[in-house]
Amino acid sequence: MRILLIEDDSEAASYLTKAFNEAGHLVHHASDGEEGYFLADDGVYDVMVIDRMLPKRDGLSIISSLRAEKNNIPALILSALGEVDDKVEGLRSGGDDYLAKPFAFSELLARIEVLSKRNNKNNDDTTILKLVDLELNRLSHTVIRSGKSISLQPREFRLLEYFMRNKGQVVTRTMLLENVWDYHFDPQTNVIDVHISRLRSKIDKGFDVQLLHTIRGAGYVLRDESQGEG
Amino acid sequence: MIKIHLPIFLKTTAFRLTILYMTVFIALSLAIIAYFSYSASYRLQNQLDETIENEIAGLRLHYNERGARGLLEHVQNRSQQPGAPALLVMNHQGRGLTGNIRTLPPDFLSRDRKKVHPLFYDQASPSGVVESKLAMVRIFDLNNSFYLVIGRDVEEREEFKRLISGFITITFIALVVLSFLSWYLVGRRVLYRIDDISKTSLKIVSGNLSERLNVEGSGDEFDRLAINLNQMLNRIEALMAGLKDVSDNIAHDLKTPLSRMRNKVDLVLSRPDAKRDDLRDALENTILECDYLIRTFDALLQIAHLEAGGKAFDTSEIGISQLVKDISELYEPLVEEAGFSFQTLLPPEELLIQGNRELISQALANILDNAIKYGISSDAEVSCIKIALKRDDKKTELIVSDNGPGISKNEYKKVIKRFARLEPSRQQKGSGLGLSLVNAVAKLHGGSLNFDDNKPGLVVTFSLPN
Repeated sequence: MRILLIEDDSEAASYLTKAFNEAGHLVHHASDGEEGYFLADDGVYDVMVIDRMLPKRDGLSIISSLRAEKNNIPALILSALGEVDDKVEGLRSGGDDYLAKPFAFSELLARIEVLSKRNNKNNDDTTILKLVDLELNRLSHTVIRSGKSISLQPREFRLLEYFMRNKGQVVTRTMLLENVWDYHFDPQTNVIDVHISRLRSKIDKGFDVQLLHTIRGAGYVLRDESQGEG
Repeated sequence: MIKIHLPIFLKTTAFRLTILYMTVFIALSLAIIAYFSYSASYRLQNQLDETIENEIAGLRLHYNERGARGLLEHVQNRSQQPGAPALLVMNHQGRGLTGNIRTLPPDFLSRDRKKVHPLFYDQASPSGVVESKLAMVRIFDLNNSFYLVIGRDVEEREEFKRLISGFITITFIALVVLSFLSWYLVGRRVLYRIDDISKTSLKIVSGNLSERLNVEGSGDEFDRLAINLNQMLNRIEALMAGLKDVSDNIAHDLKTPLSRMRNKVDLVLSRPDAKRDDLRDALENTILECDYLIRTFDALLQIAHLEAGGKAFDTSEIGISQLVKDISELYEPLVEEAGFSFQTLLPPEELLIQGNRELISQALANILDNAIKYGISSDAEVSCIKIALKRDDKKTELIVSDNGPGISKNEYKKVIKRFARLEPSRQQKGSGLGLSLVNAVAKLHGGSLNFDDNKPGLVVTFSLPN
C-alpha cells in the first residue's frame, strides 16, 4: 500500500514511516501543506494520513480542495484536538476518518488498512457477503454457516456485517464503537469485548474453523486462518 | 488646576441627584407662581382702572344734572360709605371742599393728569377713626372750577402681593429643607450600604473568600446586587476549592502512575541479567500506564471544556427513549456478565429533548460503568441495575438504580468532584472522573445530577430540562 504522510513534526514522521514500513507499506512523507497538496494531487497513493495543523496550508483545506477536484483519495486526519466536535468538523470537510493524538500505532494501522480497502472495491452494494462457509445476506438479514441458519440480534448482525465487509482486516474496539454503534467516546470499560464473545459463540461455536480472532493489543479480525495467509 | 476636595457625602450620586431635582423643581415652581401672580396683578390693575373710570363717569353725571352742589353732596355721601374710593374735591384755590382724603402732599395737584399716582393718605371714616391708606389716584379738572382727586385703595392688591411673596418664600424654604432631608436620608442609607459592600469586598480581597455581603431582605436594588455578588463569590469559592482539590488529586492520580512507571523501567534497566521478555513486559506495562494517563488527561480536558461551555456544542432534537435503548443494548451483555440482572423501564412513547446525543450517551454510559463497578450486592442473587425514564412538565429524568452497598448521604456531593473515589485505597480501576463528567454534561444542558438512597443501593438521577 502506498501511503502519503503529511506531517510537520519530523520525529513523529520518521517514527510513523518506520512503523508503516515494518508493516509492509510504502510511505512518502511531505513536511508542509503545500508539498502535501502537490503530492496528493498526483493520485498515485492509496491513502493519505494528514496532520490537521500544518505549515503553509492547513490539513482540512487540503482535503476540501482535493474533494472539490473529485480526488477521492481516502484521508485520515491526525490531530491534537480530540473533542467530538473537532472530529465532526474534520469529517465534514471531506476526511474519511479522524484520530486524535496521542494514539496507538496499531489503531492507526488498522484504520488505514480498512480505509485503503474501501477505496479499492466498493462492496457497499453487495447483497451477499461470504467468508468460507459463513454467509450474510444484507437484504433478507439472514446469516448461514455451513447451511445452518444462525439467529442474530439486530446489533449482532450489524457487527458481523462490519467484520464481513472488512474481512481479513484488523479492526479496533473504537472502530467498532464508531461504525457499529455510532459512538465516538471512550467507554471506561470494555463493553465491546462482551459483544464479541457473544457473536463468537454464535458463529464459531461448534465449528472446526474459527473465524473471529482476537489480536492482542490491537483488536479483532474476521478471517480464515486455516488457508495460510488470510 | 485646583482640585476641590469635597466631603465624601457631597460626592455621592444621591447628593448630586437631589441637587439636580431640587433645582429643576424649584425653577418650575417659581415659574408657575410668577405666572399666576403676574396675571392676577394685571387683572387687579385693570379692575382698578375700570372702577376709577366708572366713579368719574358717576361724578360727571351728578355734576351735569345737579351742578356743583349735587356733586359735593354726592361726594360727601359716597366718601362715607364703607369701601368708598379715595375722594377729594377741591376748589381752584386748592382748598378741600369735601371727601375722605384729609391732606395731600404739596405740589400733588401739579402732577400729570393722565397718569395714575400712588398716594398715601389718612382716611377719616364716618366713625371718626383715621386710617393710613395707599391708593392709586387720578387728578381731574372739572370744568376749570374744581379739582377732583379720585382713586381706589390698593391695600387689597398689596395684600395679595404680600401673600404671594410670603407663599413663595415658604414654598422655597420648604423645598430646600425637604430636599436636604430626603438627600440626607437616602444618601445616608446608600452610603451605609455601599460602605458595607466595600468593607466586605476588602475582606474578600485580603483573602477571606468565605465572607458574604449582607442581604437585608428588603429586595431592593442593593439586595439584588448583594445576592448576585454572593452567587458570584460562591462560584469563585467553589472553583478555588475545585482547583485545590484538582491539584491535590493530580499529585496523587497522575504522579502515582508516573512514578510507578518510572520505578518499573528503572528496576528492569538496573538488572544486568534482564531478559528480553522482562524488557518487553516493562515496555508493555509502560504503554498501559501511558494509556491510562492519556485517558485521564482526555477526561480532564473534556470536563474543563464542558464546564467552560464557551464553545457551543451541537444540540439537536433527540429521542431520549431511543438513546436509552441504544446504550442499554450496548451495556446489557457487560451488565449481565458482571452478575447483575438488567431492567429498562421506558414509557411507551418517545420523549424528545434538545441535547447532544453523544454527550448524553457518554453520561449514561458512565453512570452504568459506575453501577457495574460499585453496585454489586453482597447477595449475588438480587444484584440488579434498573434504568427508568420519567418526565413531568418541566424535566425529563433518567434514573439508574442499583441495590449494592450505596453511599452515605454526606458523600453525595463528594462523588461528583474530580478524582473523587470513596474507597481510600482506590482498589477499583478508574480515573475518578466518570461522575464529574456526567455532572458537567448535565450542567451544560441546564440539568442536574442527583443521588438518593435506594435502601439498599444508590439511585442516580440525571435530569434534563424538556
